[in-house]
Amino acid sequence: MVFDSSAEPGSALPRRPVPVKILVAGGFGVGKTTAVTTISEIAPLTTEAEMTSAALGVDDGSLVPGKTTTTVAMDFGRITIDESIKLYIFGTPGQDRFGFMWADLARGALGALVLVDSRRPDDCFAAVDYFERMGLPFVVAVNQFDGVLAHDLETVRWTLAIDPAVPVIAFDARRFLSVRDAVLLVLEEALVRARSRRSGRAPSGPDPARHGTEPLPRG
Amino acid sequence: MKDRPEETSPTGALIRPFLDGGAGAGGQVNAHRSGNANRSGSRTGEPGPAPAPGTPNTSVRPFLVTAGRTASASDFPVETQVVVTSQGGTAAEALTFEYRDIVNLCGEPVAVAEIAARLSLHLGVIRVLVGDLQQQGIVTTYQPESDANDDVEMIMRVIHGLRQLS
Repeated sequence: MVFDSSAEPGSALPRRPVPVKILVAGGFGVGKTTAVTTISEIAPLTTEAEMTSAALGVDDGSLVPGKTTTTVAMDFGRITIDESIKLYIFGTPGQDRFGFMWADLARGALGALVLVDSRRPDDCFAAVDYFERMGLPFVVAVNQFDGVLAHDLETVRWTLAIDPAVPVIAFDARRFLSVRDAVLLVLEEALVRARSRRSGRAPSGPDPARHGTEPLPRG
Repeated sequence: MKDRPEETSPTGALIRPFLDGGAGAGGQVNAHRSGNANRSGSRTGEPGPAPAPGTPNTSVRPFLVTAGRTASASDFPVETQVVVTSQGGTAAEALTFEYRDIVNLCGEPVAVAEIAARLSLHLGVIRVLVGDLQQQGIVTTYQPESDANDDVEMIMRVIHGLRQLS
Protein backbone atom coordinates (compact mmCIF):
# COMPACT_ATOMS: atom_id res chain seq x y z
CA MET A 1 0.00 0.00 0.00
CA VAL A 2 1.10 3.52 -0.64
CA PHE A 3 0.99 5.70 2.40
CA ASP A 4 -0.98 8.82 1.66
CA SER A 5 1.39 11.60 2.44
CA SER A 6 0.55 13.83 -0.47
CA ALA A 7 -1.89 15.98 1.42
CA GLU A 8 -1.35 19.69 1.62
CA PRO A 9 0.45 21.04 4.63
CA GLY A 10 -2.05 21.73 7.35
CA SER A 11 -4.53 19.11 6.30
CA ALA A 12 -5.07 16.35 8.80
CA LEU A 13 -3.03 13.25 8.11
CA PRO A 14 -4.54 10.19 9.64
CA ARG A 15 -1.27 8.69 10.78
CA ARG A 16 1.54 11.15 10.68
CA PRO A 17 4.56 9.03 11.57
CA VAL A 18 6.24 10.24 14.72
CA PRO A 19 9.61 8.61 15.34
CA VAL A 20 11.24 8.82 18.74
CA LYS A 21 14.36 7.14 19.98
CA ILE A 22 16.34 6.19 22.98
CA LEU A 23 19.92 5.00 23.13
CA VAL A 24 21.42 1.93 24.70
CA ALA A 25 25.06 2.55 25.50
CA GLY A 26 27.81 0.68 27.25
CA GLY A 27 31.06 -1.12 26.73
CA PHE A 28 31.85 -4.01 24.46
CA GLY A 29 30.04 -7.24 25.29
CA VAL A 30 27.85 -5.75 27.99
CA GLY A 31 24.60 -6.81 26.35
CA LYS A 32 23.55 -3.89 24.16
CA THR A 33 22.69 -6.07 21.20
CA THR A 34 20.98 -8.60 23.44
CA ALA A 35 18.83 -5.90 24.99
CA VAL A 36 17.88 -4.47 21.60
CA THR A 37 17.08 -7.97 20.34
CA THR A 38 14.96 -8.72 23.39
CA ILE A 39 12.75 -5.66 23.15
CA SER A 40 12.57 -5.04 19.41
CA GLU A 41 9.53 -6.17 17.44
CA ILE A 42 11.72 -6.74 14.40
CA ALA A 43 14.93 -8.67 14.12
CA PRO A 44 17.53 -6.09 15.10
CA LEU A 45 19.18 -4.36 12.23
CA THR A 46 22.73 -3.21 11.83
CA THR A 47 23.82 -0.25 9.82
CA GLU A 48 27.22 1.10 9.21
CA ALA A 49 27.80 4.80 9.15
CA GLU A 50 30.82 6.78 8.18
CA MET A 51 31.38 9.32 10.90
CA THR A 52 33.85 12.12 11.05
CA SER A 53 34.97 14.22 13.93
CA ALA A 54 33.33 17.18 12.21
CA ALA A 55 30.04 15.90 13.58
CA LEU A 56 31.34 16.76 17.03
CA GLY A 57 31.47 20.41 16.10
CA VAL A 58 35.25 20.33 16.43
CA ASP A 59 36.07 22.96 13.89
CA ASP A 60 35.72 22.36 10.17
CA GLY A 61 36.75 18.75 9.84
CA SER A 62 37.29 18.91 6.11
CA LEU A 63 40.20 21.31 6.57
CA VAL A 64 41.88 19.50 9.40
CA PRO A 65 44.57 17.08 8.22
CA GLY A 66 44.16 14.83 11.24
CA LYS A 67 40.42 14.50 10.81
CA THR A 68 39.05 11.28 12.17
CA THR A 69 36.92 9.19 9.87
CA THR A 70 35.63 5.90 11.14
CA THR A 71 33.08 3.41 10.03
CA VAL A 72 31.02 2.28 12.95
CA ALA A 73 28.33 -0.34 13.20
CA MET A 74 25.24 0.22 15.27
CA ASP A 75 22.42 -2.13 16.09
CA PHE A 76 18.91 -0.92 16.43
CA GLY A 77 15.39 -2.15 16.92
CA ARG A 78 11.88 -0.81 16.82
CA ILE A 79 8.73 -0.85 18.91
CA THR A 80 5.44 0.36 17.47
CA ILE A 81 3.82 2.33 20.25
CA ASP A 82 0.58 3.31 18.58
CA GLU A 83 -0.69 4.20 15.13
CA SER A 84 1.77 7.04 14.74
CA ILE A 85 4.58 6.73 17.28
CA LYS A 86 7.47 4.38 16.67
CA LEU A 87 10.14 4.02 19.31
CA TYR A 88 13.60 3.23 17.99
CA ILE A 89 16.26 1.80 20.23
CA PHE A 90 19.80 2.36 19.08
CA GLY A 91 22.69 0.45 20.51
CA THR A 92 25.57 2.88 20.37
CA PRO A 93 29.17 1.94 19.82
CA GLY A 94 30.55 1.98 23.29
CA GLN A 95 34.03 3.45 23.39
CA ASP A 96 35.05 7.04 23.72
CA ARG A 97 36.59 7.23 20.27
CA PHE A 98 33.03 7.02 19.01
CA GLY A 99 31.90 10.08 20.87
CA PHE A 100 31.24 11.75 17.56
CA MET A 101 28.91 8.93 16.69
CA TRP A 102 26.86 9.68 19.75
CA ALA A 103 26.59 13.30 18.72
CA ASP A 104 24.81 12.22 15.57
CA LEU A 105 22.70 9.61 17.31
CA ALA A 106 21.92 11.51 20.47
CA ARG A 107 20.34 14.39 18.62
CA GLY A 108 16.65 14.29 19.55
CA ALA A 109 16.96 11.22 21.79
CA LEU A 110 14.56 11.11 24.73
CA GLY A 111 17.09 9.44 26.97
CA ALA A 112 19.60 6.66 27.32
CA LEU A 113 20.06 3.37 29.04
CA VAL A 114 23.66 2.82 30.09
CA LEU A 115 24.46 -0.86 30.44
CA VAL A 116 27.13 -1.86 32.89
CA ASP A 117 28.97 -5.09 33.43
CA SER A 118 29.71 -4.81 37.13
CA ARG A 119 32.98 -6.67 36.60
CA ARG A 120 34.10 -3.94 34.20
CA PRO A 121 32.30 -0.76 35.19
CA ASP A 122 34.99 1.44 33.66
CA ASP A 123 33.75 0.42 30.20
CA CYS A 124 30.82 2.76 30.55
CA PHE A 125 32.66 5.82 31.85
CA ALA A 126 32.68 7.43 28.43
CA ALA A 127 28.93 6.96 28.03
CA VAL A 128 28.15 8.36 31.47
CA ASP A 129 30.44 11.34 30.86
CA TYR A 130 28.81 12.03 27.55
CA PHE A 131 25.20 11.88 28.71
CA GLU A 132 25.97 14.03 31.73
CA ARG A 133 27.55 16.66 29.50
CA MET A 134 24.64 16.46 27.08
CA GLY A 135 22.12 16.77 29.88
CA LEU A 136 20.40 13.70 28.46
CA PRO A 137 18.34 11.74 31.01
CA PHE A 138 19.84 8.32 31.59
CA VAL A 139 19.44 5.23 33.70
CA VAL A 140 22.25 2.87 34.64
CA ALA A 141 21.32 -0.79 34.27
CA VAL A 142 23.70 -3.37 35.66
CA ASN A 143 23.42 -6.47 33.54
CA GLN A 144 23.21 -9.71 35.46
CA PHE A 145 25.33 -12.37 33.88
CA ASP A 146 24.13 -15.82 34.87
CA GLY A 147 21.63 -14.17 37.17
CA VAL A 148 24.18 -12.69 39.53
CA LEU A 149 25.70 -9.29 40.06
CA ALA A 150 29.43 -9.28 40.64
CA HIS A 151 29.00 -6.18 42.78
CA ASP A 152 26.04 -4.57 44.42
CA LEU A 153 24.32 -1.58 42.95
CA GLU A 154 25.64 0.88 45.49
CA THR A 155 29.19 -0.14 44.66
CA VAL A 156 28.48 0.44 41.00
CA ARG A 157 26.91 3.80 41.79
CA TRP A 158 29.93 4.82 43.79
CA THR A 159 32.30 3.69 41.06
CA LEU A 160 30.44 5.68 38.43
CA ALA A 161 30.13 8.68 40.73
CA ILE A 162 26.78 9.61 39.30
CA ASP A 163 24.19 11.99 40.65
CA PRO A 164 22.03 10.41 43.38
CA ALA A 165 18.99 11.15 41.24
CA VAL A 166 20.18 8.84 38.46
CA PRO A 167 18.51 5.44 38.85
CA VAL A 168 20.80 2.41 39.08
CA ILE A 169 18.99 -0.86 38.55
CA ALA A 170 19.72 -4.54 38.14
CA PHE A 171 18.80 -5.79 34.75
CA ASP A 172 18.69 -8.88 32.58
CA ALA A 173 19.15 -8.10 28.91
CA ARG A 174 17.61 -11.44 27.94
CA ARG A 175 14.27 -10.88 29.65
CA PHE A 176 11.67 -8.83 27.86
CA LEU A 177 10.00 -7.40 30.96
CA SER A 178 13.33 -6.48 32.45
CA VAL A 179 14.36 -4.56 29.34
CA ARG A 180 10.91 -3.03 28.98
CA ASP A 181 10.91 -1.78 32.56
CA ALA A 182 14.39 -0.35 32.13
CA VAL A 183 13.26 1.51 29.02
CA LEU A 184 10.18 2.71 30.92
CA LEU A 185 12.43 4.06 33.62
CA VAL A 186 14.41 5.99 31.01
CA LEU A 187 11.17 7.44 29.67
CA GLU A 188 10.00 8.35 33.14
CA GLU A 189 13.27 10.22 33.66
CA ALA A 190 12.64 11.98 30.36
CA LEU A 191 9.14 12.84 31.55
CA VAL A 192 10.41 14.34 34.79
CA ARG A 193 12.89 16.41 32.81
CA ALA A 194 10.25 17.56 30.31
CA ARG A 195 7.82 18.52 33.06
CA SER A 196 10.36 20.49 35.00
CA ARG A 197 11.42 22.30 31.84
CA ARG A 198 7.84 23.11 31.04
CA SER A 199 7.31 24.58 34.46
CA GLY A 200 10.42 26.67 33.95
CA ARG A 201 12.48 25.02 36.61
CA ALA A 202 15.26 23.34 34.76
CA PRO A 203 16.81 20.79 37.07
CA SER A 204 20.33 21.64 37.97
CA GLY A 205 22.89 19.42 36.34
CA PRO A 206 24.90 16.91 38.27
CA ASP A 207 27.88 18.30 40.05
CA PRO A 208 31.02 16.49 39.00
CA ALA A 209 32.85 17.75 42.07
CA ARG A 210 30.31 16.23 44.38
CA HIS A 211 32.30 13.12 45.00
CA GLY A 212 35.37 15.06 45.85
CA THR A 213 34.11 15.36 49.39
CA GLU A 214 33.41 11.69 49.80
CA PRO A 215 35.90 9.19 51.08
CA LEU A 216 37.63 7.46 48.22
CA PRO A 217 38.41 3.90 49.16
CA ARG A 218 41.53 2.88 47.36
CA GLY A 219 42.41 -0.69 46.57
CA MET B 1 46.40 2.09 37.38
CA LYS B 2 48.90 0.81 34.85
CA ASP B 3 48.86 -2.78 35.92
CA ARG B 4 45.31 -2.96 37.16
CA PRO B 5 44.24 -6.60 36.82
CA GLU B 6 40.95 -7.13 35.03
CA GLU B 7 39.41 -9.27 37.74
CA THR B 8 40.00 -7.11 40.78
CA SER B 9 37.24 -5.43 42.65
CA PRO B 10 35.90 -2.27 41.10
CA THR B 11 36.30 -0.59 44.43
CA GLY B 12 39.99 -0.62 43.71
CA ALA B 13 41.33 2.06 41.43
CA LEU B 14 38.25 2.17 39.28
CA ILE B 15 36.55 5.48 39.37
CA ARG B 16 35.69 7.67 36.48
CA PRO B 17 38.90 9.29 35.28
CA PHE B 18 37.96 12.95 35.45
CA LEU B 19 37.00 12.43 39.08
CA ASP B 20 40.25 10.68 39.69
CA GLY B 21 42.51 13.46 38.53
CA GLY B 22 42.27 12.31 34.95
CA ALA B 23 44.77 9.55 35.53
CA GLY B 24 44.81 6.15 34.11
CA ALA B 25 41.94 5.68 31.72
CA GLY B 26 43.96 5.86 28.52
CA GLY B 27 45.46 2.42 28.66
CA GLN B 28 42.17 0.76 29.43
CA VAL B 29 40.37 2.55 26.69
CA ASN B 30 43.02 1.59 24.19
CA ALA B 31 42.75 -1.99 25.26
CA HIS B 32 39.04 -1.96 24.57
CA ARG B 33 39.38 -0.28 21.24
CA SER B 34 40.82 -3.35 19.64
CA GLY B 35 38.03 -5.43 21.05
CA ASN B 36 35.45 -3.21 19.51
CA ALA B 37 37.12 -3.27 16.15
CA ASN B 38 37.05 -7.03 16.18
CA ARG B 39 33.40 -7.08 17.00
CA SER B 40 32.40 -4.74 14.26
CA GLY B 41 34.13 -6.65 11.53
CA SER B 42 37.04 -5.87 9.29
CA ARG B 43 35.52 -2.79 7.68
CA THR B 44 35.40 -1.07 10.99
CA GLY B 45 39.08 -1.60 11.49
CA GLU B 46 40.06 0.13 8.29
CA PRO B 47 41.65 3.50 8.75
CA GLY B 48 39.67 5.10 5.98
CA PRO B 49 37.57 4.46 2.92
CA ALA B 50 40.49 3.17 0.87
CA PRO B 51 41.18 -0.52 1.39
CA ALA B 52 44.75 -1.63 1.88
CA PRO B 53 46.59 -2.51 -1.34
CA GLY B 54 46.09 -6.11 -2.27
CA THR B 55 42.99 -6.43 -0.13
CA PRO B 56 40.18 -7.86 -2.21
CA ASN B 57 37.16 -5.65 -1.92
CA THR B 58 34.10 -6.86 -3.68
CA SER B 59 31.74 -4.19 -2.44
CA VAL B 60 31.11 -0.94 -4.21
CA ARG B 61 32.66 2.07 -2.60
CA PRO B 62 29.90 3.60 -0.55
CA PHE B 63 29.63 7.00 -2.13
CA LEU B 64 30.00 5.80 -5.72
CA VAL B 65 26.23 5.55 -5.95
CA THR B 66 25.88 9.16 -4.93
CA ALA B 67 28.42 10.36 -7.49
CA GLY B 68 30.71 11.35 -4.67
CA ARG B 69 28.23 13.57 -2.92
CA THR B 70 28.27 13.23 0.83
CA ALA B 71 26.15 16.18 1.84
CA SER B 72 22.43 15.83 1.63
CA ALA B 73 20.08 18.75 1.32
CA SER B 74 18.63 17.53 4.58
CA ASP B 75 20.76 16.05 7.30
CA PHE B 76 18.13 13.55 8.30
CA PRO B 77 18.23 12.18 11.82
CA VAL B 78 18.61 8.40 11.75
CA GLU B 79 15.02 7.76 12.80
CA THR B 80 13.49 10.07 10.15
CA GLN B 81 10.51 8.35 8.52
CA VAL B 82 10.54 8.01 4.75
CA VAL B 83 7.42 7.16 2.78
CA VAL B 84 6.54 7.14 -0.90
CA THR B 85 4.11 9.83 -1.99
CA SER B 86 1.05 8.85 -3.96
CA GLN B 87 2.59 10.20 -7.16
CA GLY B 88 5.99 8.73 -6.26
CA GLY B 89 4.81 5.15 -6.58
CA THR B 90 4.26 5.51 -10.30
CA ALA B 91 7.67 7.11 -10.77
CA ALA B 92 9.47 4.06 -9.41
CA GLU B 93 9.67 2.32 -12.78
CA ALA B 94 11.85 5.05 -14.21
CA LEU B 95 14.30 5.04 -11.33
CA THR B 96 17.67 3.34 -11.20
CA PHE B 97 18.76 0.67 -8.80
CA GLU B 98 19.24 2.23 -5.40
CA TYR B 99 16.52 4.81 -5.85
CA ARG B 100 14.06 2.14 -6.89
CA ASP B 101 15.08 -0.05 -3.95
CA ILE B 102 14.30 2.78 -1.59
CA VAL B 103 10.93 3.47 -3.18
CA ASN B 104 10.04 -0.22 -3.04
CA LEU B 105 10.95 -0.31 0.63
CA CYS B 106 9.00 2.76 1.66
CA GLY B 107 5.39 1.96 0.85
CA GLU B 108 4.94 2.26 4.59
CA PRO B 109 6.95 4.75 6.63
CA VAL B 110 10.46 3.39 7.22
CA ALA B 111 13.31 4.94 9.20
CA VAL B 112 16.38 6.18 7.35
CA ALA B 113 18.54 3.84 9.44
CA GLU B 114 16.30 0.93 8.54
CA ILE B 115 16.61 1.67 4.82
CA ALA B 116 20.39 1.72 5.23
CA ALA B 117 20.36 -1.58 7.07
CA ARG B 118 17.99 -3.36 4.69
CA LEU B 119 19.82 -2.20 1.57
CA SER B 120 23.26 -2.68 3.17
CA LEU B 121 24.29 0.84 2.30
CA HIS B 122 25.93 3.47 4.42
CA LEU B 123 23.68 5.74 6.38
CA GLY B 124 25.31 8.72 4.70
CA VAL B 125 24.57 7.29 1.25
CA ILE B 126 20.93 6.77 2.14
CA ARG B 127 20.66 10.32 3.42
CA VAL B 128 21.86 11.64 0.07
CA LEU B 129 19.60 9.38 -1.98
CA VAL B 130 16.54 10.06 0.16
CA GLY B 131 17.27 13.77 -0.16
CA ASP B 132 17.27 13.38 -3.95
CA LEU B 133 13.98 11.48 -3.92
CA GLN B 134 12.43 14.05 -1.67
CA GLN B 135 13.46 16.88 -3.97
CA GLN B 136 11.75 15.08 -6.83
CA GLY B 137 8.57 14.67 -4.80
CA ILE B 138 8.82 10.90 -4.85
CA VAL B 139 9.10 10.47 -1.11
CA THR B 140 8.06 12.52 1.89
CA THR B 141 10.05 12.55 5.10
CA TYR B 142 8.81 12.99 8.62
CA GLN B 143 11.52 14.14 10.93
CA PRO B 144 11.30 13.75 14.68
CA GLU B 145 9.85 16.68 16.54
CA SER B 146 12.58 19.16 17.29
CA ASP B 147 11.27 19.56 20.82
CA ALA B 148 10.48 15.90 21.49
CA ASN B 149 12.42 16.17 24.73
CA ASP B 150 9.94 18.72 26.04
CA ASP B 151 6.80 17.07 24.74
CA VAL B 152 5.22 15.78 27.94
CA GLU B 153 2.14 14.40 26.18
CA MET B 154 4.14 12.46 23.64
CA ILE B 155 6.46 10.97 26.24
CA MET B 156 3.40 9.90 28.22
CA ARG B 157 1.98 8.26 25.12
CA VAL B 158 5.19 6.31 24.65
CA ILE B 159 5.15 5.22 28.30
CA HIS B 160 1.51 4.21 28.06
CA GLY B 161 2.07 2.24 24.87
CA LEU B 162 5.13 0.47 26.24
CA ARG B 163 3.29 -0.53 29.42
CA GLN B 164 0.74 -2.36 27.27
CA LEU B 165 3.43 -4.68 25.98
CA SER B 166 4.21 -7.83 27.81
